[in-house]
Amino acid sequence: MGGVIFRLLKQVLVGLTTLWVVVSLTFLLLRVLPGGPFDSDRKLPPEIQANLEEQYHLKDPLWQQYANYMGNLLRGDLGPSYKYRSRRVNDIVGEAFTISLQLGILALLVGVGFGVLLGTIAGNTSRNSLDVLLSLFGITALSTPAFIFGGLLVLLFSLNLHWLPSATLSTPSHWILPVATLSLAPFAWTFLLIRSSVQEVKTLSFVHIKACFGLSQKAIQWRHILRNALLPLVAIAGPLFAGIITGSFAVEYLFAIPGVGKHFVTAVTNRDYTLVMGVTILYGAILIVFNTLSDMVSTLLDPRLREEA
Amino acid sequence: MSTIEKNLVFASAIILVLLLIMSLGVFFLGTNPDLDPAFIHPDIALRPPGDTVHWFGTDDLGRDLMSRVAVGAQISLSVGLLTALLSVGIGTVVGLLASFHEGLWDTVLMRAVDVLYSLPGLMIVILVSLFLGRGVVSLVTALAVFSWPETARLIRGQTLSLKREEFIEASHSLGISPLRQALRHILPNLAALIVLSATITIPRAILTESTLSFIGLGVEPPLSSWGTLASEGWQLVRIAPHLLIIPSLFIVSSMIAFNILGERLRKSYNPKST
Repeated sequence: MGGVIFRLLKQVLVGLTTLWVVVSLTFLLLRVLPGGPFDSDRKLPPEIQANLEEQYHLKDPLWQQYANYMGNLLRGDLGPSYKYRSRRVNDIVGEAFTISLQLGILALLVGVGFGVLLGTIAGNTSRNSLDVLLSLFGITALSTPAFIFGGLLVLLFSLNLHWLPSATLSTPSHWILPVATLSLAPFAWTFLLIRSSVQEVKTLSFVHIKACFGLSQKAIQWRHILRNALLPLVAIAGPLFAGIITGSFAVEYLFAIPGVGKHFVTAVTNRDYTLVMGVTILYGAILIVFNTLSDMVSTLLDPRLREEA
Repeated sequence: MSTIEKNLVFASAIILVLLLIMSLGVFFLGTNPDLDPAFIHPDIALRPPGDTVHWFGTDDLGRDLMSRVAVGAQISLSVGLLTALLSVGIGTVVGLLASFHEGLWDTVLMRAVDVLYSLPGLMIVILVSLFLGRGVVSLVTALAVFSWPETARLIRGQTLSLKREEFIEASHSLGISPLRQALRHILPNLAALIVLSATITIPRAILTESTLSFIGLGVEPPLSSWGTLASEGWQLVRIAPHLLIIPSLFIVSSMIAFNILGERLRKSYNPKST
């Protein structure tokens, strides 16, 4: 047991170091970028520019800015926004993240749910010709970028059939298309993974033994095979979440949703460095937590991985 | 492998060859003013597809959509291919280095890989391409920066297991230098894996590039990739849906073709996981 605890502690430490490196790298990258946050099309008078830079400590030596930023970060403060001068990055990111998080969780639930359901059915199919078509179906889902899927959904369900609204999130029916769009990537990943994992598990001898005991095919497929086939899903939690982030950029652009992706893109064009950093740190932290958690759960579930520690 | 599967792989190869021919055909289009992708004809704007001259129709400025898609193929495919070349190159060198210098080097390199894994890919690409300026070269560099770790991991794992093989041990006891060992004996055995990583990297690069161009952070006009075309099509989706649908079909079919080939290679490389 001590080995396991040691391994888990090590994973947490590695995660924290990674986060520190991510924060420092982003900080450096943004400071060496050409152009400052206050260079805009409308040139500011030099005095005002100097005052602004003074106010945001942009004239301090780099190490001091870094120390300052890290100090504030440890207290959970992401600093002021350079663009929206009266607002804090925490407030902007917090507001946008609530929306993106709800959208992301719904999309994950829908995508993984349908992926497990259809993947199990597909994995238990034994007809060869159908099997190839199912894998083609999975590959097509994997190969369709979120923005294309979303665009086509809008074209079909809003513009042609007039069934669903096409932008913003004002009523529950507004959520259907964005969630469907965002769930395509996790669906494709889960579908292909569960399918091949079910195909592998169903050849194992314990499945034949269950059949000999007289369990129904249905019970074997949905209880015993699926339970074992779900394990690899834990290992791709990180990539799944990363896919949701990438997708959310396109979805928020398509449906004019004021989420984190949309703010990131605007912040990048506005050179609102503190906001860009805030978003990068937030998503980096979430990815690290997801990767660490999925490592940990894999370690706890699969005794073979403990030996390697 | 079943017959349908064989046909699918064959069809994918044909699709990719056709796309390649199409992107090369751009060089002949300029000679015909009707099909010049940059030539503006306001009088024939927004023609639907099926026209005798303009097979895919025209855009809001009357430019021929088929020629624009061909130019887009050139940009999208070269972004994919160049990214794969750069990223697989870096990944192979780093993976080999890490596996030949077990200890400090290995730890440092693999930690770097972990850090890159923890960054949201699309965000790194946006930040790096901001730093380098917008254009095909900086986009390719940015894409390679976040995609090489995967190749490095694969190459490192494979090299470590190759190094335990008898023929490597034999060459070691014959006194061959590590560099020669890597180049002459290890690298040829990694060829299949290198091709496989490239096939995985290409569709991902095409996906990221088209998403970026769609949200307006990809290649800058006058260059227009498939993603740019889809983005312009999205603005006009209410009046001319073909401007969205046709570039989308090209993005999806090329991605499917690369993914099918990648899947096939993965299976033949690792027959256990069929």
